[in-house]
Amino acid sequence: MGHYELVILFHPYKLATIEDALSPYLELIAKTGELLALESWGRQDLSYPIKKMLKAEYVFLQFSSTPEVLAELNKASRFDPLVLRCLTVKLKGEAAYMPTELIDLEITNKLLTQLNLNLTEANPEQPEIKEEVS
Amino acid sequence: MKDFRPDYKNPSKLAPFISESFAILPAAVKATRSSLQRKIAKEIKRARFLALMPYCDQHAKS
Repeated sequence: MGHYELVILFHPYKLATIEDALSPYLELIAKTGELLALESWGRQDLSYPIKKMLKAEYVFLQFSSTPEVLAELNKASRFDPLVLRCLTVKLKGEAAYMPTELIDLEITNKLLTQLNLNLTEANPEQPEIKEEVS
Repeated sequence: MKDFRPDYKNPSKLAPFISESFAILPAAVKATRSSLQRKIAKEIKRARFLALMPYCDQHAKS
């Protein structure tokens, strides 16, 4: 069992809802491993056009998996018309989740509740700065 | 600098290591130690693949 990261760039217009598009991948992950962290980075401008698109819906996943399931995941994403591009990274050793600077807290929390995932520990909200302002 | 961990998920931290035309700066320019330079280069390439960073300054605009 290795720990991996997966970033998926979804097509901005073909996409109905993120949770529908994401569910086949989550099912695959749940087969052998478990999801460790999930983040939405929202709809970001691309630095250069991909398949003539200038924006994409970014989703970031951190999970444990066997190499066989990872191969299935790669294959599934390659033939998925909703996916513009994706990147899998094998982590050295255990995954240590830290919220990234790209995180869209609003969409991430919405996704987590919609998918009934218990990752609240992995996704600590950071309202400290906001509290100081108000 | 000592606990700096380059990461494609935090592209703004990688920005100091690319030139004006978005090329990766050589290690000598930033006086980066070679082991760190290798990691930085790798993470910049990952960020570029995900379009979080441009490859160059001549990308098509449409």
